[in-house]
Amino acid sequence: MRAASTQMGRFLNYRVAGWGTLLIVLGILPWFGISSNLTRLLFTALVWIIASVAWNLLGGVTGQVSFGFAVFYGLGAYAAAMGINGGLHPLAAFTISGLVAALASIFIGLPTFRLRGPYFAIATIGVSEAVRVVMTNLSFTGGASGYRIAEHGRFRPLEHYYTALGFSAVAVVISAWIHESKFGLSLQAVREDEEAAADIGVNPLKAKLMVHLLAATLTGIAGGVYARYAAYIHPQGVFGFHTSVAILLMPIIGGAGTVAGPVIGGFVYGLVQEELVAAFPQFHLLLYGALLIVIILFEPRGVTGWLGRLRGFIERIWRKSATASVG
Amino acid sequence: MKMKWLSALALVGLLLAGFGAPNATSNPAAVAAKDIPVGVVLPLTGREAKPGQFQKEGIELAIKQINEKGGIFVRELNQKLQLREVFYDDGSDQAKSAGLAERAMSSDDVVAVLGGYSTALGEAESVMPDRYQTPWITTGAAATSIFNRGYQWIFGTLSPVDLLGYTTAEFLGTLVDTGKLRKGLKVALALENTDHGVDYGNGIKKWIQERGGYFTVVFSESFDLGSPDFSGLLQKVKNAHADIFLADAHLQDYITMHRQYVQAGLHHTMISYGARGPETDARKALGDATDYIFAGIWWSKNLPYPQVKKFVDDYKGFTGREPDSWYAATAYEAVRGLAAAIEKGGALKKATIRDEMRKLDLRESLLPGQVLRFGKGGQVDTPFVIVQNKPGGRVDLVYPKDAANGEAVVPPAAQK
Repeated sequence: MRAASTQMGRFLNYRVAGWGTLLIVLGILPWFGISSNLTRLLFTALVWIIASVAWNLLGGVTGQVSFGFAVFYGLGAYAAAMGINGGLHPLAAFTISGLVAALASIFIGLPTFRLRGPYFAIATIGVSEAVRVVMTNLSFTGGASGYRIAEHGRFRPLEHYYTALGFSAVAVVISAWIHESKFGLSLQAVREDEEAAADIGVNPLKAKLMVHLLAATLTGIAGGVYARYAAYIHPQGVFGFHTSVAILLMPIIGGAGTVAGPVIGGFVYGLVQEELVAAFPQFHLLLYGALLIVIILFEPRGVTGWLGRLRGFIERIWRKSATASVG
Repeated sequence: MKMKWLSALALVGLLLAGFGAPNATSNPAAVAAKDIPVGVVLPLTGREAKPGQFQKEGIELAIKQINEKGGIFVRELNQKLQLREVFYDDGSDQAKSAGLAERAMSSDDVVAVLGGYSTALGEAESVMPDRYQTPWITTGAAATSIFNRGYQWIFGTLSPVDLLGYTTAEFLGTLVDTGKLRKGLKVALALENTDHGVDYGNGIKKWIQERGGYFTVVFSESFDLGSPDFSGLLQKVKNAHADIFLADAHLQDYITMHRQYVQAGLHHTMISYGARGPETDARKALGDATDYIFAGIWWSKNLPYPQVKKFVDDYKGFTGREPDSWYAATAYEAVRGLAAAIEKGGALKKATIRDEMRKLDLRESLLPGQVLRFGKGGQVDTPFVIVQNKPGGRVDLVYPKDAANGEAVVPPAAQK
């Protein structure tokens, strides 16, 4: 028992060291004079990572596949934009983004979590489209003309970059904590079998609502961080169905239900997609689709599944060589 | 299994080739000495793909012609340099459009960025030029909201949309003056719920207010850009019993809305879809249902200028077909304007180019009025021309009178 716990502790330490190293690398990267394009791409990837990690808590860990996260992303974007135009400090504006999205998650979650499986997924599409149409016709948010954030002073890309890095680190910490916590176990129980989870004392509706609220808050903040950078947002963009699909795709590419998967998916989506657009303007969509098919075809557990296989392969070789040297 | 891995490897190889493909970022200093990179961000996929393609063709024709003459003489370097296009397809997506304009400005070492079709995408891109202090010339965004924010690095080759609305009403006014329409007709407006639509409606209402008694607006409602269904709106238009139907729509919406208009059995004395009307796609899709529709556009191939005739011939030689509506010409002019500014300034410094763009007074322009000059906010102020579809696939320029090659016709059915 003690050996198992020591092994677990060592494994956790390795993981903390890994995440810490990644954070430090991303933190010091701009000091090495990386191009402004790479800074921008990394910023985009980090924003997507926040949303991807958030979706994974509901979709990956809890098994509730939502196609409606653009609602939280969009509401967060608009809340931050209006807050900043109203004179709020960006951090205060992002807090409001999170709160607005959290509030929306309750209104959306209460009725939709009564549904299960594909019915829940379809309901989230419906809610998302309804909100997009309302926002398109809401005059005080600019309607279909979009909403512009007044920019004062010089544009500082690094400030945006570190903001996104900070929030994505917070999102990963929350995700890692949930994976290790009792709350995370209850979410996994809901994912596997709601009735069985209820039998062992988990309240499925409460668990789903809580994780939905948490995920919405993070997604709202991601929307706010994006809006401040873009300085112009539009309902067809931030509330668009493609935004919901992007948020859902990232954890699937990286590996749903894991801590690292959504982060890898966010990087892949943020970096690869635009590079494909730039390098192959005529057939980037075809290539992106092909990339997705290859990932899903070869490893449904996403990139983390591939990495797991690779680790297994290396361990086998290491063990073989160790056995050979002992022999 | 082997095939699966082979196809995967092929895809990965292709992706790596893409990442490693030489582009403007690979060695900007070396590139800068031998050519002039110009960013172009336009939609080649998505709902604005067709106009985006026409605009790209206009830009590429202009670049080809300039390069065939040896390029642009840059006084500072004492040599002629060729223009090089750095193209990105924004997929008709605003976030992507802004991101790609930013990419071109921040990393591709371009001297300017062209693009931004349509207003919605142009709005998103327009944030970037002042951030990166790079001239941006929109070839397809015309809403005044883009140009009245005090930005210092933005230019546009399309006149304001409120002028389009104003000219449309003015044209209808001339039909009243010539006895083709009677005074006091009722007008129904269906406006895209964007800045474009707002400007169009304001322009029409302004003219009507200035000339009391000509027309009365009895219906004015907005619709969602890109909506698949306009039947509810068209039912309201029907119930308004107006004589004239004026909508402000983009190409796809024009085709969808007019199909539903015909299906709903609506009839009006005069019909317009703003700046859309003569497009080949619409005429193919709707046939003679598009006859007599009129449009206010930024350029027409029927303009009686020799340079326009030459452009039409050159474009036909370049693409194998005549220009479809106005799209290619405003993009072509953007490149000419940029080239003139670079040559006049004699340097590739972005600030110099921007300053020369502001002072630009390019004669023999394709645009109505034959002068390309940017106003205070960076937008041109060239007049609009009115074209009208005629039976047999013909399109006549019907207004202004001095440029017209055909008469404005009130449809025979409407006169009964």
